[in-house]
Amino acid sequence: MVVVAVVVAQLTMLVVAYDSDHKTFGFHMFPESSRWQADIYRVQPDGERIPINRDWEYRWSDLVRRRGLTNPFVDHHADSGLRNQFGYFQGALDWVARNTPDDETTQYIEAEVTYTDNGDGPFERVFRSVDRDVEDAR
Amino acid sequence: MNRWERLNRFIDAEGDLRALSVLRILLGPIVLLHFGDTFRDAADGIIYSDRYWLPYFSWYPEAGPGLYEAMLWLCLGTAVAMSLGILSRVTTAYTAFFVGYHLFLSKTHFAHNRAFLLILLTTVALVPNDRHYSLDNLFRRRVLKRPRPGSTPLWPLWLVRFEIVCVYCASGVSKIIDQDWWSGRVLQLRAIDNRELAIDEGAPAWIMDLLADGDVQWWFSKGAVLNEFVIALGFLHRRTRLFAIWAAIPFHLAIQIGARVQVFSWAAIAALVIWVSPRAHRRTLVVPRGHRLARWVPRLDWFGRFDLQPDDGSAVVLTERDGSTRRGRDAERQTWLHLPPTFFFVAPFSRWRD
Repeated sequence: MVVVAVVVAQLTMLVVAYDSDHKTFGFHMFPESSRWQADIYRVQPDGERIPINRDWEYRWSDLVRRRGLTNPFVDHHADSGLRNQFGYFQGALDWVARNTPDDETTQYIEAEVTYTDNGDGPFERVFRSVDRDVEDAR
Repeated sequence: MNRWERLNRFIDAEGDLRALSVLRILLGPIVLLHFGDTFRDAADGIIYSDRYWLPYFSWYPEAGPGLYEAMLWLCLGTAVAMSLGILSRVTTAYTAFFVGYHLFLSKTHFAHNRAFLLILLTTVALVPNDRHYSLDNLFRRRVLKRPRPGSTPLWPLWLVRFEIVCVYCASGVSKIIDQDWWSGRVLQLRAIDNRELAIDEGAPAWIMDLLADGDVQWWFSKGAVLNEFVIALGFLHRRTRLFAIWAAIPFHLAIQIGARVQVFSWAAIAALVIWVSPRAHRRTLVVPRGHRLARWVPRLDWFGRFDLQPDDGSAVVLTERDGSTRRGRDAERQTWLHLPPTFFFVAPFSRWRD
C-alpha cells in the first residue's frame, strides 16, 4: 500500500506541477533564462509614491532575503523561472505590507516590474500588495 | 504464479542494503551544507519567521522561535550522528523529519534539490540503516556480541529507484516540451548572461563565446536533455546501468560548475549508490596471497560485491554472478571496476556490465 500510495502521489505531482507556480515535487530543473527588475514604491493615502528604500523605518533587504528577492532593484536572473519568481515576489509584497507596523503612512506597496521572458521583451507588469489599515496603524 | 503474486513477491523481497548505509554516511555532510545559511542565520539570532516567509498551509504547526532553534541545532547534531552511525535509526529519522518539516514550513524553503534530499533521507530512514558502517553495529558486534542480520526488505529501495528515475525523466520531459529549451535558447541566454563572470573566474573566453553561439546551443541543449533520458533509462537495465552511473558523474559535476544548484549535484552523485545490486558477495574472487587486491578489496569493497578467497595460486580468478570466470588482468580490471573509488577511472576501459 505504501509503495502504491507513493507512486500515485509522485505521478500526480509531476502532472500537477505543470499548472503551479513553484512546481513542488515536479522536478522542472533550470526551466528558464528569464530576467527581471522591480521599482518598488510605498503608496500613500493621497496617492504619492515613495521609493521603498527612501525615508523608511525599514530596509527591504533586511525583510526579504534569498530566492532572488534580496535586491530586486537591479536586473537579474529569475530564480526557477518567472512564474516561480513572481509568485514569491507577490508574497513578499504582501508580507512586507503586513509586517511593518512602524510604517504608519503607507496604504499599500506597489511594484513596477520589467522583465524579459527567455530573451523576449522587455515586458512590464505591476504588482500590488494587500491594503494596509493606515487608520489603525496611527 | 500470476502477475499480482509476482509483484507481491518482488515488493516483499529481502536483500542486502549496505549501499543505503553508505548513502546514510554521505547524506550527513549534505544536510549540513543544505542548512548552512540557516545555521549561520540562527547563530546571529535570526530565524525564518524574522524575514519574509510564505506558509503552504494555515494549519501547519509552527514551532515557536525557541523550540524551532532547538530543533534546528538538534538536527545539526543528528546529521553528524547519522553519518557516524550513532543511534542511526533514530538520528536518521529525526534528520529526515526536520528537513521535511523545514521544507514544508514555507514555500520560500522549497527547491527541487531539497525535495530530492528529503526523498533520499526518508528512504534511508525507512530501512534498518544501522547494520553496516555504523558505530551502533560496531558496538553490537564487539561489546554485545549480537550482530543483526544484514538482510532487510527491499521495497524502500524499489521506491527510491522509482523516484530517482522520475526526477531525471520529469526534468527531461519539461525541457523537451519547452520550445525555448529544446531550441537552445535557454542555455544560450544563460551563457551570455554569465560570460563576463565566468571569464573573471578563469573560464577561457573562446569557450564562453562557443557556448554563447546559437548553433552550438541548438545541438548542446538536445544533448543535455537526451543525456537525462540516457541516464534515467540506463539505470533501469543491468546491461546499461554501469554506463548510466558513470555518465551521471560528469553530468552532475558539470551542472555544479555551470549553475548554482545548491546541494543537488552532491545529493545526486551520492544517490548513485542505490543502483548497486542488493545481493552481496555474489562474485567470488580468488586472489593469490600477497597480491595487491588481497589488501585493497577488503578496504574498498564498500558494497560487499566480492566473496574474497585468498589462495596459494598465482593468478587472480573472478567468478561472476552468472558463473562465468575471468582470469589474470581481465579479472583484476573487472574487480577494480566494482570497487567504488576506482570505478569511474576503470570503467572506460572495461566492459559495461552490472
